[in-house]
Amino acid sequence: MEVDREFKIVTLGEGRVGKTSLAMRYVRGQFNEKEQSTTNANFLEKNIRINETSIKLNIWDTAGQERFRALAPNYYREAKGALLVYDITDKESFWKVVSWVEELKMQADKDISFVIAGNKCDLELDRQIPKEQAIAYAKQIGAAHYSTSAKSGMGVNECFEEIAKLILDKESRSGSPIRSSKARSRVIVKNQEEVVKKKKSGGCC
Amino acid sequence: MGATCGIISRNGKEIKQVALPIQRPKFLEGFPPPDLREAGIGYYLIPQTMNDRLLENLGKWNKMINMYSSTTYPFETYLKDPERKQKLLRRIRKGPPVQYRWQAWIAVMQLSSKINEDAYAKFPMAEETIMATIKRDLDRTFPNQPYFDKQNFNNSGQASLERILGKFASQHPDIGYCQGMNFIAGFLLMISGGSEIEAYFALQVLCEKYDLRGFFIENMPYLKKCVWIFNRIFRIKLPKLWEHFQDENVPDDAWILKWFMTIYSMTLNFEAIARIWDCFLVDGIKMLYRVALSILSSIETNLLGLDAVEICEALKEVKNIIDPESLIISSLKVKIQKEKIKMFENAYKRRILGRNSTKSVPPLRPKPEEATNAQSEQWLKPPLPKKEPYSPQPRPFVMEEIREDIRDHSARGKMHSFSSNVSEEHPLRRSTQVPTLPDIYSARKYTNSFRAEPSTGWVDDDSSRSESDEASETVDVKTVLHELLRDKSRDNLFRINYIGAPLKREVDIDKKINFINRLPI
Repeated sequence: MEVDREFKIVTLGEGRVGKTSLAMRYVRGQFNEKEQSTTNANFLEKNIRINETSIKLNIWDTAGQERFRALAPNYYREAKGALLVYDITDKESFWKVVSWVEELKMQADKDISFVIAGNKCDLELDRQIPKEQAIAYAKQIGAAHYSTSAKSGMGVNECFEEIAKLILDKESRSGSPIRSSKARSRVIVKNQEEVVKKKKSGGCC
Repeated sequence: MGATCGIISRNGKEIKQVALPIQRPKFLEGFPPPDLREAGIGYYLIPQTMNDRLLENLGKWNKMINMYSSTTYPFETYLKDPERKQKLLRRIRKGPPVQYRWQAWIAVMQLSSKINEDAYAKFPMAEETIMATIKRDLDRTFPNQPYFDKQNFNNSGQASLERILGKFASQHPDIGYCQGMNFIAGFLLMISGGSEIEAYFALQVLCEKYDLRGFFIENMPYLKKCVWIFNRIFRIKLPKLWEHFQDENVPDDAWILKWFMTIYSMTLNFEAIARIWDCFLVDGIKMLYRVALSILSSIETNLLGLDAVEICEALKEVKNIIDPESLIISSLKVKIQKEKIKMFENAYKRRILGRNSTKSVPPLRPKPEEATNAQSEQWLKPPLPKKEPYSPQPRPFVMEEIREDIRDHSARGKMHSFSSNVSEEHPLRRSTQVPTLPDIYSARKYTNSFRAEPSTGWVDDDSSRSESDEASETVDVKTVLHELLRDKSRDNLFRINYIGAPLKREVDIDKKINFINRLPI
């Protein structure tokens, strides 16, 4: 499959809010009730198509604990988008999103696009964060807000695709297409044999 | 000593009645662990089918235990005599029977002197914010194990885990709690059969004696170092695969960091983890390198055809395709010389730690005299390293790396000349200063022109490199490059980077020179 663009997206948020579950639901359509806690990071990808542009999303599903950032300061590097996740049943996790927004504004790529996801909407009865408050906050900082549930699948595709759309929008507005990380990487001339071999054996997609 | 109990086979049927030592779990008053068999912990964690080999092994261990049946920790006495100690360590490496595993680990960790039940009871729990983080991870630690299911056994498993991690964080403020520790503590709890207090002190010993502290503290200095060293070994042992990983930009985060950080307890099945830990407790960190290399080499051909995401995926699912016993056997066959690790350690110190300020990295180990001094347990609790502002660091300028390579070589007196007109008066030979421009230029011309490495296979050819190989030889790089480009038949050996393309992070000039020296020119 021809890929026109390649975007790197990170999932950020407090531990246990469902970052891994959201990413897994989006990429594989699966939900695991007994997901292990994430150390370091997971690395996933998904090809999508938005307005005739085929896009490959490289999703970095990060660990909740900030200590892991020491190992990979490149979590943000080249990240064009971020999914900030909080758990609607966990007040603290929302404040974490607020602090992430501050940090992203300070540190990361100026063009970074982000979307806020209030996860675990299947647990509406235990809701601690009023929806209006979350939406108002998102509006205030100019971000989109989605109510999601990795369990039921609600809002999952939408929030990831929104990020991709935002990145594309920014690209077209600024006029200069953001080059994918692949395009920037070094030129390697592989010998013909190897290329052919790779094509033959590459039954991956 | 000993109660009769069965060993269960994989299908749950009892096959043979054998004597089992009574595991006397040490727990806080009022919080007894559940029945081992029901909870599937202790020696029920790893079901095994009895066969002749296992029976023979069990017989040996039974004999060992009978000699010292009166003590609580039967194998500790083995440590007093050097010869017997070696025997014990050898047998642990071969794999103790499941019934004796925890006792064997206690012995090899020299745990018995550390265990202090009263002190444990008095340790306070950590502050609220840390406890909140711990609580988030409790039911995400081995979530498929009945022992750690909240519904079972009065929540015994999760409660023990919470206490261990909470008390540990309060006693070791520099470490606090780091995700990943939950898996290590959880695994210790399961192997020990819910012996909370022993598991706590085992975690402490792992952090102190086995340096895991450096895996978990802010900045994770020891973990960074180990992974850096591992990558070096990986490149030597499996050059083709390493190359592929670099081409595909496989992120360390998604595999090796996880493997090391949890000592494989997230990655493999319990039998494999236990066997790895057997060897890790005897051999130390080297075992982690060996296992990783062994896993990689066993699926190398598959991995070579995959892209980054698929590789991460494959390495995540590795437990389903790897047989524990053959993994251990092949791991133990991987030869990594101590000197080489030492060499890489020095290189790491010089390059990575030297680059940043060394002050921000706390010492990995206390000095020997400090460690023996009972009062100065302080090294365990140095002031928290200053949190570095988190910012995407710009990729270190390539030239800086080349300069370092040159500096390294000149410092070791192994400077090779890169251009054809270098005389004895070469400025690099005299000092470790940053070379002057023309030198850099010639080095750059060399390194940027091509990147070629012979496909060496499994053989550790670095060790065979003799001093005479290192003799300074003048090579006209341009000629070599032309030679390479012209000779199509060598194509499958090389991948060529064109001039101007960014270099890879680590430029191994040594290897290239070695290679160039071998070229028939």
